[in-house]
Amino acid sequence: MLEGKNLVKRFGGLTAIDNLDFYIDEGKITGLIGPNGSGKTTLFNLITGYYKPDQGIIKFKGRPITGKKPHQILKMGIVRTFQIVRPFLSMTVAENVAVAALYGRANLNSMKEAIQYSKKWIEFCGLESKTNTPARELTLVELKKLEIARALATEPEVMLIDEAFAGLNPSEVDQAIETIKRIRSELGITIFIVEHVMRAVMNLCDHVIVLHNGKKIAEGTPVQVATSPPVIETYLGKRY
Amino acid sequence: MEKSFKFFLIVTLLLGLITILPAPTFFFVALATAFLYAGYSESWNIVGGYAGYTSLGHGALFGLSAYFVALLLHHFGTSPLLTIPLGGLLCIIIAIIIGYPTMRLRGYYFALATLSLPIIFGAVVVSFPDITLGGRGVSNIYITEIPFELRPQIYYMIFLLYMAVCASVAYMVERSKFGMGLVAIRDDEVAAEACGINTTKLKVRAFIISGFLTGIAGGFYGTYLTYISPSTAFGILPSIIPVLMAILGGRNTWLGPIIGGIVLDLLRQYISYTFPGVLNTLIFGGILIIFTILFPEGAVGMIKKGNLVGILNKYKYRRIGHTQSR
Repeated sequence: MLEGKNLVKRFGGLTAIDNLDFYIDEGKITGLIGPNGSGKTTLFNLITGYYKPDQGIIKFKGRPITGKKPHQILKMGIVRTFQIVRPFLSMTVAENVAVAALYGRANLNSMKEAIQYSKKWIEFCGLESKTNTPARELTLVELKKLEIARALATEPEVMLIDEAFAGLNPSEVDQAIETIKRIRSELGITIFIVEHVMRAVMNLCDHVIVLHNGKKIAEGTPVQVATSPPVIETYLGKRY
Repeated sequence: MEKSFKFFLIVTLLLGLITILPAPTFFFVALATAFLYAGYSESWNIVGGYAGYTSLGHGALFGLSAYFVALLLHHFGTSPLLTIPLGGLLCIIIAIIIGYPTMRLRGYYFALATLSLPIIFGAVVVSFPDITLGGRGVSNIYITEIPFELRPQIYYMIFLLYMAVCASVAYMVERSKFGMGLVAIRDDEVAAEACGINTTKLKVRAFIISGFLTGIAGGFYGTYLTYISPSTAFGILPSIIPVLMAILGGRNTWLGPIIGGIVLDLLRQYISYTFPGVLNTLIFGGILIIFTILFPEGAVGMIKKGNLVGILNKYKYRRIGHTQSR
């Protein structure tokens, strides 16, 4: 459904993404893991149009999307969430989600409709008690939920989730895992997720891609990846 | 419709009806410029407030339109009634030309880039004295259709209407999909783009609306003063004044620039009549500083929050020596 071929992205002398191929199946949850600085977020930025690749091509449903702007890519059905949450702080929760409904693929035109429509997604993410709370008064967990609700309100086909679990405590992680499972099972959205919390990766993903220094070093089911020698070497060192 | 907007429209209507009464002329003269500045400040607010792009160069558009009207009248005798709307259209074109490159910049960089515009425009005017009459300016700019003895009343009406139009535009923007997009851009441009907003298109559109309204103000202002020069048109004041008014009144709200514009302009006029000379600028500046400290979010923002009492208490406590956590 979403694929990249021979992707290269350099920042000056640093090659952040080095000749990377990837493929994401429709309806699956694909995980993207790797040590810090391995190029995970860079890859997300390439897919969603925030960066342009120096080489290579990214295709979505067979159509090339490289060179398109983020808002155009969103309209094609690829949405992302941010590692560091980026709410619209002067707006309430409902208004935040309404912006996505107005300008996303739902492309509503009236504020009233958008606010009405946003309720569905706020409920889906379990934020209904905060509907009219200003975003600046939310806790981190709530902001992460808001980030997901806003992404869903754009009516995506593929959702790129960048570290949704960072900074959450174990019970909150369980809750978030459930939400992501429901996004796939109830809404049928394909998910590509960057994650450091291995419990979540093992629990959620059908397929995992491991990056190191911008190169793919392993790929497969979570168990395959976790037992793969190059991955163990990268994370733990040669001795193991 | 919101209550406060209905109230505003009624007050505007009543203010308009006053012209029938034999009110003293100074009443019209004093309020006319206050209305003009309130409307101008509101135009600025669409870019500087909702979209959060603090333009320090709106004076370039304001002065450009004033010069356009004045020069066409001077050289060809074209009636300002025709050229003022054209001045607005000219400002739309200029807004597009300067909007695309400058709105890629953010924060201070955008402010600095726009700050250079009136300086550039002023330099151009001085450099081509054959066309622009250079540094000595253009005089005798009149709308001959307006009878001389009714000038104060008619300009009062024009500027009142102008202010009402600007406020209505801002009111509609604030409640529209477009306005919601601008606020999203102000809050977080990267996230706005991730929600599907074509940020460039929206920002330039905001600049166009703002530029058109600014151009109308500039065109009328020249004929109101009857004289413009590079320093009155492209000096620092026409660029800074709407910013001050909007910020002190409360940017991001349609009502803020209206209140800020009227109050500050009347205050400025009062101080300059009461304290002649350099002293008035000093006092006016001092009052501005106090305002900014008391109302960091603007007067409207403070009233909305209901924090007026709280903030006064805070200052009281501070004076007595109590320390507060915030």
